Amino acid sequence: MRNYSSYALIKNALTGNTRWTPAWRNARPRKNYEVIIIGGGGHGLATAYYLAKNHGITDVAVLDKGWIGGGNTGRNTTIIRSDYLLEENAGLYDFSLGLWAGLSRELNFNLMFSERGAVTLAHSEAHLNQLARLANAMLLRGVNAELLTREEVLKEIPVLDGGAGTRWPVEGAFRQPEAGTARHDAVVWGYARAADSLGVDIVEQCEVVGMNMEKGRIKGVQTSQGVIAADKVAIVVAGHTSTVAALAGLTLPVESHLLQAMVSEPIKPVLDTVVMSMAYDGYVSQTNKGEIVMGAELDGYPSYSQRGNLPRIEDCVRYTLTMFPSFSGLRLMRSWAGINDMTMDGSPLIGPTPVDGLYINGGWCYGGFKTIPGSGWAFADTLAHDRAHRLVEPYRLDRFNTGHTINENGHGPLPQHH
Amino acid sequence: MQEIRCPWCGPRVQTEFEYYCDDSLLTEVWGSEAVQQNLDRVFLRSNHLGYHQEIWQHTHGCRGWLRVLRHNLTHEIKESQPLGSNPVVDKDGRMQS
Amino acid sequence: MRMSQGGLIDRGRILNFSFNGRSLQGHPGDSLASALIANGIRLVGRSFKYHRPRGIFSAGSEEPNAMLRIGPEATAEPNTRATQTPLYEGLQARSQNHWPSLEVDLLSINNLLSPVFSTGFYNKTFISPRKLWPVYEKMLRHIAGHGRAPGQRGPEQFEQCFSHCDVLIIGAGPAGLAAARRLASTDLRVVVVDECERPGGWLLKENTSIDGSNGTDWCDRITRQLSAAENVTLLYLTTAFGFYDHNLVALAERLPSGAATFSQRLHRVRAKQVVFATGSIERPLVFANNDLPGIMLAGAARAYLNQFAAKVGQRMVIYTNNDSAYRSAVDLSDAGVDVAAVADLREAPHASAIARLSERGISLYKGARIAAHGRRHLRSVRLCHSGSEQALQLDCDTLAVSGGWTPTLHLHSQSGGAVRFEPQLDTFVPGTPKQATVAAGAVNGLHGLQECLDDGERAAVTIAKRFGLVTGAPNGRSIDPSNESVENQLLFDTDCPAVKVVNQHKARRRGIGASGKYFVDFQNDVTISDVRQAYRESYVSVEHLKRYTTLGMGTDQGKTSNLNGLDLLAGLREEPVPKVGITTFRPPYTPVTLGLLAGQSQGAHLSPTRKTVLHAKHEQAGAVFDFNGLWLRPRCYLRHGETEETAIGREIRAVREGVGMTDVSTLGKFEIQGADCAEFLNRVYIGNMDTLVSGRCRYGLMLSDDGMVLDDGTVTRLDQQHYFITTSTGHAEHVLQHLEFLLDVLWPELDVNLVAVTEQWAGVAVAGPASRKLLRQLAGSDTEVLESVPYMGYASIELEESGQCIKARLLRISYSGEMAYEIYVPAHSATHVWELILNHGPGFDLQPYGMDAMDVLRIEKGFIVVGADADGRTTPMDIGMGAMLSKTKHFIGRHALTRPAMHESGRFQLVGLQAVNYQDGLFEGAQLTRLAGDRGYGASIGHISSAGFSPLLQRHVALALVRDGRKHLGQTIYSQDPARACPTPVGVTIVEPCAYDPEGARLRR
Repeated sequence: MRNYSSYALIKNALTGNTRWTPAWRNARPRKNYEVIIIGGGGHGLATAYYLAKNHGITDVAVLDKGWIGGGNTGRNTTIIRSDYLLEENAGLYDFSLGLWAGLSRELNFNLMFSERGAVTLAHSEAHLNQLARLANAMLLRGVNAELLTREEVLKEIPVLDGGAGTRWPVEGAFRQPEAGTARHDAVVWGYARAADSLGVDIVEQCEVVGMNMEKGRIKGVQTSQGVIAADKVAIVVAGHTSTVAALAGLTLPVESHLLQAMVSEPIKPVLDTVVMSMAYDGYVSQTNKGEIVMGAELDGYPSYSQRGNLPRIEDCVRYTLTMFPSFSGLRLMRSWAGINDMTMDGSPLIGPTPVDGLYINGGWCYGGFKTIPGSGWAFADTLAHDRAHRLVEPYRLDRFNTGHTINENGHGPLPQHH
Repeated sequence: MQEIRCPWCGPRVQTEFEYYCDDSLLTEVWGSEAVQQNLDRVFLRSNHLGYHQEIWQHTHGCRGWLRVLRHNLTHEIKESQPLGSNPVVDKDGRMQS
Repeated sequence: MRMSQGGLIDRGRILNFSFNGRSLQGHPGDSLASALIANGIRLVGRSFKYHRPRGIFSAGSEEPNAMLRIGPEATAEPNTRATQTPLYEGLQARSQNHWPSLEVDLLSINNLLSPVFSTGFYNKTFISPRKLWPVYEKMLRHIAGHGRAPGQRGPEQFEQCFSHCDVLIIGAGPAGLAAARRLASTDLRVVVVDECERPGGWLLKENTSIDGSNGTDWCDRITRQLSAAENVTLLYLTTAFGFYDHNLVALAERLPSGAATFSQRLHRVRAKQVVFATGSIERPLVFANNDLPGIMLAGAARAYLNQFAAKVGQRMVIYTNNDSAYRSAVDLSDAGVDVAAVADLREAPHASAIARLSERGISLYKGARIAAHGRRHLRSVRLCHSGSEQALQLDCDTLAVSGGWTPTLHLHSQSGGAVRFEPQLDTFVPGTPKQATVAAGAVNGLHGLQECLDDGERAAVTIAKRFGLVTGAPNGRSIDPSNESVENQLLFDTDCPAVKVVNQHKARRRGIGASGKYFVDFQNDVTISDVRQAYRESYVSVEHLKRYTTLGMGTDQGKTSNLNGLDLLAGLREEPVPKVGITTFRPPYTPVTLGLLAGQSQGAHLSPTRKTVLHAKHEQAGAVFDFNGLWLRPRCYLRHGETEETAIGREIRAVREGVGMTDVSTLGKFEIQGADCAEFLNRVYIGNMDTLVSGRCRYGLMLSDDGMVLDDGTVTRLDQQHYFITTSTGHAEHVLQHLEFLLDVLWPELDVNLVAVTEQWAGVAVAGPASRKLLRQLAGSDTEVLESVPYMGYASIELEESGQCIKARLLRISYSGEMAYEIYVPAHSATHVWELILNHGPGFDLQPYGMDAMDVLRIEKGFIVVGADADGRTTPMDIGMGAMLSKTKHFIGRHALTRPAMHESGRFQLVGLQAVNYQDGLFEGAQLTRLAGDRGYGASIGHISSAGFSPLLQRHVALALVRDGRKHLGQTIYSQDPARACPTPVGVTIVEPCAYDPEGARLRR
């Protein structure tokens, strides 16, 4: 598999680029597998890869109802960071960030992981204190974090308007230097290729329409390509977790909401870091192709449509232009939306379900893309050993009943406020 | 963007409203719930694909509350009903049903 | 070259403009593209990846190549299509994406290295060594991107508005105008929009005649009628770019340059019915070197001639698979262009079409395949055809191509409408609509003028019926295009789809020299080889193809490339096109300026700034302000020569030793009235509010459904069925919605009225040992009332001064820990009360105090701030208020509090902290560890949630949330603040939260 390199590029160039091999096989499903992973997005494919690589479990099928990466993995704003406050989150997010750093090499696929830092602007003393709390927590646990003064921020990001004329003048900022971005599609393809090369079957256009269970144990799934038996089934279908879980009779603490994102036309480099803010609900970065990527908060109403409305686009642009007025003349080129599974405490649902052999990994709210490697790694371990890995144990499904909720932002059980 | 009919103000643009919760949060009779019943109501959602009865508020208008029957894939709105004890009256002061 | 006659330009006026510094001239009516063509400019840009020379390809919004920077250098708009820019006096245009110049671009070395830069190359390289990746990345980023962002914000202003209408007609071509004309005769309010400067659509670009006049005259006549109609609004230079839920269409209107204040206007139109008369876009053919300057769409070639009187070249060849391109042969030949030949992919074009050619001495080659040749621009075409074994070469400087027409169904698709593949046309057409829309004209795959006009009328009739109306044509006759010759129809041959891939070997054998690149997407430099390679590598779904090759992801959004790419993919997969599917259409239809989407609500106007009614008073008193949510509140009041630290210390001392006053108007306030209000408050708060007697206040804590503290405040019973409650400043809106939800949705049976009075009542707190003495001066005849108000009591009181009376609500509540009174008055009396108190101040050394002083005072007392000391993860037990939980009634959050985690050890509990070393500073945001050297996961046992310097205690005071804090009173732990450059941990002792007057004696005096 390790055949991607500059040398390979040149060699193939000399033979008219006709000898590149498929990145993955579009497999036909067999009658049974040891593990079926429902959902061919980042998390599902990463799980399959780590099952094969770390645990030698290759009798695995990843089923996707459409093309792999067609869900949220192909729709996010690609921000990767681990500046989470709570201990329960810190472990997994930090671990995931650590994996990102070496991931292109491991997968032999350039994911364009760009360690360009993520800055969160502070606009008041209260903000600075909150960010200090976060920075201190990270430094204590050994993760690089820093606070910047107003002057430092404006010097680092010349195109940022932090001045007195704006609604919320910048008072300082927080930065995680090792945070960054990656090319979302590349992550899907990289993991798919790697998993496939280890023997995992990737089956596209295969929708799961039913679950076969017997005496409280999973037996397999019914799909648009037939019935497939399995010892273990994992639901890794961000955005549709509730509907797929319902096939097994499960009701989850999830409400699916719309999150939009958009890009401008590509321009020459003008922004070298990811910018977020304590006051503006927007976040901005620039891709390697030159597009300015912008995102903001949820549309605010439940939706599976993957199609948002104009008001949130306007809000997102307003935040962006308030921070970067010189972008006013740039043009919005494309806008799209994903389905955010919002849980009642803002943290994911990972682990076994009341049905034996049936596992869930979903409910990622805003945290999905950045955790792909860490989640896949720990979830694979969970599946391999039939118990939640230490890093994902806090995200158990019954935590709402026991009160062990993990509420990073401190909002109550109304998802649209997260 | 969605147009929602406020029972008091008529059809208004979605930016005047806020979605609050799913109708399934309302099934309790005060004081009658057992603990697990309460936790299930507060935390679980059917989140099915299809029509939902949703609770919205006309926050940037009359602050009235409405129950909206809306499809969460097509965003089609079938109906909206007034909630609460404020009667809906027409411009001549007559009560609407 | 400019023709001396014809076209819709105003030859009487001259417009001066520049391109890359070169001064040129054009006329009103020109687009920048037509003016460039008229001036013989062929090279206008360099392609994105390979930096190949490019010329103008089209005459509309589908333009992939002619992307220029327009405007003065400092504020120039990059990536602007020359084809959509009306020419104006003084226009400055520059090409982009080349170095050092357009003519000599050294980066065209990419072209030579193109086999290495095959599709997806960046995924396969730069993987190792990791250290060099930032260097590679920097390089890649500099090569990428089209134009440069302007250095500063331009002067453009943008307006936004809402509109409502009965019918919105998108597109003022023949179908749109026919529909509008028909609907104008009804009472319906109709809005017609078109993205061009003038209406007419392709009527402006073709030689046609309707009802006896030529197409453009007919169009002018209809437009005049429509303008005169009161129920019709016409908008030009207006692009409908997004279709949203419930028939909301977003329009971007460009106002003529030099127009008043706004350069663009965003219309959000709610239309009861929408007509998509959006036309179709010509499809390119794919062949060797099909991107050379001089190669353009056949429709564009005749558009430049007919509309702008600009000849696109001297000697032209036409390459086509359908009859429409023959019109170019006819029009251009009649205008004096040497049309060397028509190369038709088909074996059997129409006899009448052939006749037109032979009349003009234009050769026709059937079954033709071509390859283009040239370096910086087209020089010749080599073709083979079924009439001969020999290939031949035709020298030419222009090649007009046509692969058919692709209906512009973006908006229809955005609206959720189904899309249907029409094999006869080898393209997709609109299917069943999802919302209240109808499609008319060329977008339905129709090509004849008669058909389009009829379709427009039919759409109008359909729409009118939906309103229950009947409509007839004004004079009873439907529109009749006269002399419609056969070429005015498009006849299409399905055997020759646009992507008829030339078999390279066969073609080379036949001598047309078909090596070179076959472009499918011009803007992103995607070739047939790229598509094939992607297929080989398993990127076989249409979305994967798009994302892997970037086909269709440029600023032209694939308008001239999507369908060809799809066709190619279907061929490779050996499946019919509809099975392969189509990529999703998303807004915007064409790119939209960000400033337009923001309008005026950005920068300083992003969100409102809230000021209390006393703001001016604070300014007068020398306040330094800070944000508290949306509010501007005084942090402290600076006297001459003071630092903030000194001022805050002074204010604190004033409150503890004398008397201070502060503005508490930002607190959320509610009037609760009705027979059931006690019951209501009992359900909302954790404490019993029904046992509160009239004239008394109580501290109130309310929880969310998950048992966490939502907010705290005060509850005052004014009367049996009347309460007045306050909430924190930051949660006022949230609590309002929460209470409204409870009353209107959950418990409508309760007889309770709730009114939010946050802004209607202002509040001033007068606090300090001398507070009552001071207020005695103002109490007038109510002095006894004042004296008798107990701690946590309420009275209605009249403050008077020289005959003036202000009625006030007096609450004896203290947030500072001193004897204190909160005086609530209607907002319009606030400044008066403030002045009243101030006037009596000097005798008591009264000082206004701000948020920072207030903060220290309450921290000294161990009073929490919800949001800091209770952060949404905190229960009442965590903050030491477990005793307040009622045992006799049910309240919101009670069930959730029974969950095991709420009672486990390890919870973060509210405690006070005292530095072991009195001089050491304690700061909000510091983390806490058990031992000084504890690091790693689990090392943090809490954090400092509130802190400040107490001038009275001469040390820092702090509140903190610490794991099992209450079990460890007296123990020493460590404050860690490395983020703020405090490298050494500070030893702190866990103490009770209240550091000052724990008995509360000073409160109760």
